[in-house]
Amino acid sequence: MQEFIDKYLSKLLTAIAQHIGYVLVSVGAAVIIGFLLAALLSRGRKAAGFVMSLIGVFQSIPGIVFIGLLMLKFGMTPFTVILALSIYAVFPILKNTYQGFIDVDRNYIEVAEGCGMNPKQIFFRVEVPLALPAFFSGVRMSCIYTVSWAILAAMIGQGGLGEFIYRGIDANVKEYIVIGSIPIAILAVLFRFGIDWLEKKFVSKGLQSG
Amino acid sequence: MIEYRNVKKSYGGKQIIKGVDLTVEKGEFVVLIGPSGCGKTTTLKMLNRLIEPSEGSIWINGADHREMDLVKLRTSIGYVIQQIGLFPNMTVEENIAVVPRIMKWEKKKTLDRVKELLNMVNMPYNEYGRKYPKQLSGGQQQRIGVLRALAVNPPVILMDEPFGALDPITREILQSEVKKIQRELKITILFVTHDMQEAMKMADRIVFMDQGRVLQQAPPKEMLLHPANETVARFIALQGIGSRTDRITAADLMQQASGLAAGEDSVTVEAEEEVKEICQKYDLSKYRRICVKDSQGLLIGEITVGSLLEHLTEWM
Repeated sequence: MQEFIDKYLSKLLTAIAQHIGYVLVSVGAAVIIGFLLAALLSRGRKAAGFVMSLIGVFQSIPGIVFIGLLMLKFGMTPFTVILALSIYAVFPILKNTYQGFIDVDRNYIEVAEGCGMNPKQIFFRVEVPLALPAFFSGVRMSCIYTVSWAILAAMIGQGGLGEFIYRGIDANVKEYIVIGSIPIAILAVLFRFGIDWLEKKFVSKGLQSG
Repeated sequence: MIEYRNVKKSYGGKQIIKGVDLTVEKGEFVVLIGPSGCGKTTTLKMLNRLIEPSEGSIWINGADHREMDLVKLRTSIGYVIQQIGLFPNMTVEENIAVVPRIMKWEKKKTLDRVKELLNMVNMPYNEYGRKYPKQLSGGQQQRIGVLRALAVNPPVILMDEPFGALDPITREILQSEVKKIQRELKITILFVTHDMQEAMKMADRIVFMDQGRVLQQAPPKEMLLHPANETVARFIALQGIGSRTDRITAADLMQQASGLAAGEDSVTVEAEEEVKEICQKYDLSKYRRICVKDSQGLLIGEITVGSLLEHLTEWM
């Protein structure tokens, strides 16, 4: 096993870097899109019901099918991978953040209005801070999922840790599978800690438990 | 001065405020009371335009309030609601500074004001300024809610059942504090409650509402002694005779007279003595008259036991 690692170390490190890159870029894009969509949809709740159920249906399409379809259109490129991962990463963020906005107690908004805040002030000083915990749990979920989904990059030859896993399965070499899977597990845990740290930093102490 | 002129409000064809006329003088403490769904909260919220009247108009110091700048209108009217009025994501300091911040006060001025207000309720800034609402007791939270409403010295404050969720002792303390502040600063307060005892304690004038109408407006004692109709009387009765006879004194019921003499058929009480106590202290079936004396011991009037009993049954 040690021999195996030595032999593939540089390849492994590249794969890990690629994997992290896919996760960061797609979750980053998903954060922006998910947050904006959630903010927008929470303004127009009639449209939101329709859009959210549509998204629910869309989400049930398996990732592997979806990435295949996108490949037909955009070819076997990193762009295809990032596009597919981003779209999937948006769902948890959008759903959670939307719910976060919806769950902001009407009373807070009314008091804010009563105090004389305009809609922009209400949004930034009351609604966003109150929706932030839900947003972060969405981002956390999205990150963890994306770390596993990024394996699919290898399916269209775009690297990442999936390459080791696919090769291991194809060639029936269990070392490949192990050195591909363990970093994925570690990455998932690290991303989780990272998001926890960001959450602690950005969510008001008044909303954190304990 | 605030004037509601024939204000009506309908939701989807259903009229819930059926023409309210109400004048509130500067510095007056007016309590809106009535059974739930009577329209008291709606009436309150129409003043700062959280709810827009469907018909009629509201005038503040001679100006139609719909023609005033909305932010100016709202920052000049403090607003306190029940329980969760504080923003949980903000510290005590930030909560109090909400309105100063909207009005773009300087930081120094805001901080000084926050400290001054916190001192007023014995919650020193150093200890409480950085705390979050969840770290405070219910009573402390509601104090901060009141301070937030006071922050920019608005001439008018609206309070919507502000003490409804508090335990009786804390409620009593906060009622006294608010009443004291209101008197000292001569603030006009519109206060919604369904608790007659609270209304009695706080109000200069009670406005009784039912089904979108004002049934009676009167100072507390007058409303107790002379409810305008069956609905008002029954509402008062439901709150219990004990609370209703609170604060009604012999002087309130007596007929003024001079040349009175106490006799075997009478008992003599102090003018300030509460009717409730008199009933407990004496066996009134033995007497026909209650003579009332002032602090110098001079007889100033009398109550016939018959009329007292009449009042008592009326209150039941």
